Amino acid sequence: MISTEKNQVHTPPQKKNYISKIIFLLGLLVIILGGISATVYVKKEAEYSSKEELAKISDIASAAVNPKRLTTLQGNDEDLKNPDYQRLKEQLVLINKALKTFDAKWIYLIKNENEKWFFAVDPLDETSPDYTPPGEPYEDYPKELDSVFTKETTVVIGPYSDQWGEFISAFSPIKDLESGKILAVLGVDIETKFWRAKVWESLVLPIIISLFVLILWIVFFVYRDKRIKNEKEIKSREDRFRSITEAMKDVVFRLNSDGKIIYISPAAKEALGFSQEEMLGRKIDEFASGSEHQKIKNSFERLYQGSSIDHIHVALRCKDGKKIQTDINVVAIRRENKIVEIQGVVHDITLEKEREEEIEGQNERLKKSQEAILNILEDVEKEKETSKKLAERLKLATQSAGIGIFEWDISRDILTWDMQIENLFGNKRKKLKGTIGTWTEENIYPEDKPKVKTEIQKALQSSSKFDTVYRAVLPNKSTRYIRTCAAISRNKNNNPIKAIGVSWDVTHEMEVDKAKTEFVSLASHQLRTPLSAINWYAEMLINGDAGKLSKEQKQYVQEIYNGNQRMVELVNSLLNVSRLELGTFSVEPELLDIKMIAEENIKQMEPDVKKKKIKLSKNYSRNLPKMMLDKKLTNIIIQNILSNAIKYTPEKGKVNLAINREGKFIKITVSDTGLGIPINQQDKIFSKLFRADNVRETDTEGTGLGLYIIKSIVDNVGGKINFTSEQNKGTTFNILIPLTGMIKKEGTKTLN
Amino acid sequence: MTKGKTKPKTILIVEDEKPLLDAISIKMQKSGYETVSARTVEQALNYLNDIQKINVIWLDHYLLGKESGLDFLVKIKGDKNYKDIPVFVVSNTAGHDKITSYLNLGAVKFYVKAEKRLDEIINDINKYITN
Repeated sequence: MISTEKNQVHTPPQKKNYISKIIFLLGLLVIILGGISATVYVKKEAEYSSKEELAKISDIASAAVNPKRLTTLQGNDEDLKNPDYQRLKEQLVLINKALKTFDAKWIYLIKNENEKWFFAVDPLDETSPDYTPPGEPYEDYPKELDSVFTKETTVVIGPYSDQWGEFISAFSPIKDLESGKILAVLGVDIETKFWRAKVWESLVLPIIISLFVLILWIVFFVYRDKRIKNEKEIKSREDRFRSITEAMKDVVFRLNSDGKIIYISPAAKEALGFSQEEMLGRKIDEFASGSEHQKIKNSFERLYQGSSIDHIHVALRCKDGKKIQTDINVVAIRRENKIVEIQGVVHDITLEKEREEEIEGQNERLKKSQEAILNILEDVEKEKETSKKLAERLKLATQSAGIGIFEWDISRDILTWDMQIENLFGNKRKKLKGTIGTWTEENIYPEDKPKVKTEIQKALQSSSKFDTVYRAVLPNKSTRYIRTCAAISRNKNNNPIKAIGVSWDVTHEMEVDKAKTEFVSLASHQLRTPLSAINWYAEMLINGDAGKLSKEQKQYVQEIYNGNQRMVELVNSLLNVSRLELGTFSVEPELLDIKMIAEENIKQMEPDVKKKKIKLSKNYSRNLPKMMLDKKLTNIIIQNILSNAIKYTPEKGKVNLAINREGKFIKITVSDTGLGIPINQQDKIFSKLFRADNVRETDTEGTGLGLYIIKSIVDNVGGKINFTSEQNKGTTFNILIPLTGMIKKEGTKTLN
Repeated sequence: MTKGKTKPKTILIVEDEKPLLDAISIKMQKSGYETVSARTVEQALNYLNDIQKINVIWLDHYLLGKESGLDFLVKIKGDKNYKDIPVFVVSNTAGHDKITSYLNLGAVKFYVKAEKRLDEIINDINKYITN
């Protein structure tokens, strides 16, 4: 059903509706008005005709009255004896009887005299309560009664009411045959209610007819409305169906009982490539390949055998030869048990099939990923276990070693520490959180507080490590030495954000160190005291404080003095060596200009330089930066190396001191034109107390400890020392100190 | 060297080693000082009390008895009568801390005995006194 209505002129439904509603209402109005007017008319007619009837009755009745008898009436009680009166009465009774079929209530004769009406004859019995005696005035008579005289014919009056009730009356004049004068009036009364009943009777028919017409009218319209609605409903359903089927991608089709296509939705073009026209009239089989025919046949078989619905999976052939996989659902439309039509829907599942396979594939991949993830999770779990174990071991280790761990959130100043720390500091409160300020206040020996605070600041500002020994004061007022090392982590702006550190008790080590230091101290004191005595007495002797000495005596004493000086030097060096070996010396770097230290030492050596007439040159490169150096140690290095150069260079030789940058180091080069170091002894030159043979043969004095000390210091501060030498040509020593400076070292003593 | 009419200066020598003490005394006397020798802190304090006119003190670190030169220095620096007497510390120990402590307490100078000639030290003392 290809729509043809599309091109029709289409009065909008609302307007149509409007018009018909108006027509209906008008019709309704007409019928009602018509009904009413008909009824009214019929009523009037009925009224009139019944009045007419009454008039006729009255006429006839009056004709039956003998006027002659009227003339003898007097209009008083005397009439009762009057035989005319009696005759008239009998006549009235007779007439009344005859009129009984007409529902007349009263019939009577009345006379008018002197413009007053009064009753003449009443057919009622004298004993009746309603009996009106002759001559009784008719008091409240209807005024139209007077018109009898003017009209001289029967007059019907009413409805009116008087003392006896409500009536419609006909008054007929009874004339004298000869004079024509009205002698009396015959009144016939009908009770209004009877009259009205009669009228109403006549109305029944018109009312019924009107109602009937009205009902017909309404029914007609209702029926018409319904029909229109139905048609609309059907139309809209059709439209919906059409729009759905046309919008559907699935192809909707209808086959007749022969299996030929009588309708196919436009989606067929999209799905199969054939237009609707191309498909109409053909069979479905024609669009399927040979092997599929059986499926279609079987489906139809099933329908014909009684199924009302069926479903098959068929491959259809498109116009371009491509095959598509489809699901076809069919419905058999039966009328009186015979199939008149087969309706169906074709759903292209090619894409779906492809998607299914894709989903399968994805599921497979997903499964594999899941497995991989599970494996990873397993590994992670294992790692977690391992980490946990490690953490536990670390905890045990630190606990057993008495090492406490702490963490300092620098930006928020939240310090947290473990139970070990609590134990170390003798705190039993088990409070493991606080700020760095309160903690240092509560736990550090007052004298050491400034040092610790300074160290903290230094560590925060520079990138140096935090490594300090200080005294802790416990709640029981005892002290112990604690060493704390911390590493500071920084953010991208190099601001410190977190510090993690460890602390442990080093009281024992400090005491050992103290003991060692005390020993060295004492040893040095013990050794130096006699040396000092010899020194001073020899000095006084030479000075002549004990009397003048002979030349020879002076000479001998001088030898004693000189020998003693060597001893002093040796003791000094030995003491330094012992400190180096015991590791009790400290390195306290400060920002220094190495040039200045070199210059100071050169100045000190001037006497010797002058005496030996040595050409001392110096070479400082420009832009030598200030460095973190321990003054004492730097002095020892430069002093030793310079004094060696000067000592082992013969008179008029050359010594050069150069300081410049080399890579990440500062290089101090001291070269001389001296005795040099024999090649076969060069490897021993840094050994303790070693002096090469060539210098021992000369008269030079040396402890053999200088280079050992220099090397030990240099090694300790992160520097390097090397040399080149050729016997009798000269020696060049290079000492490298890192630009980052000497590393701070806690110790109990400085070297001398 | 003191000049003519000026009164000779008195030096309190606090040193525990006898030979050294003698050498220092002799040399100081030869330089024109009057000398008073003490070998313990207690002795030294007593002399301070008894002899009102100590002009300068020669102080060693290690002494006989329990107290050291440092203790002595602490004591005299706390006494308004003696705190202004110049103190020269001459010792064979050269611990950095010790030197710092002495100098912080107000010692004029610190010498390492074995490395200094007597006359050098005496020269310095002279120079200091006459200023």
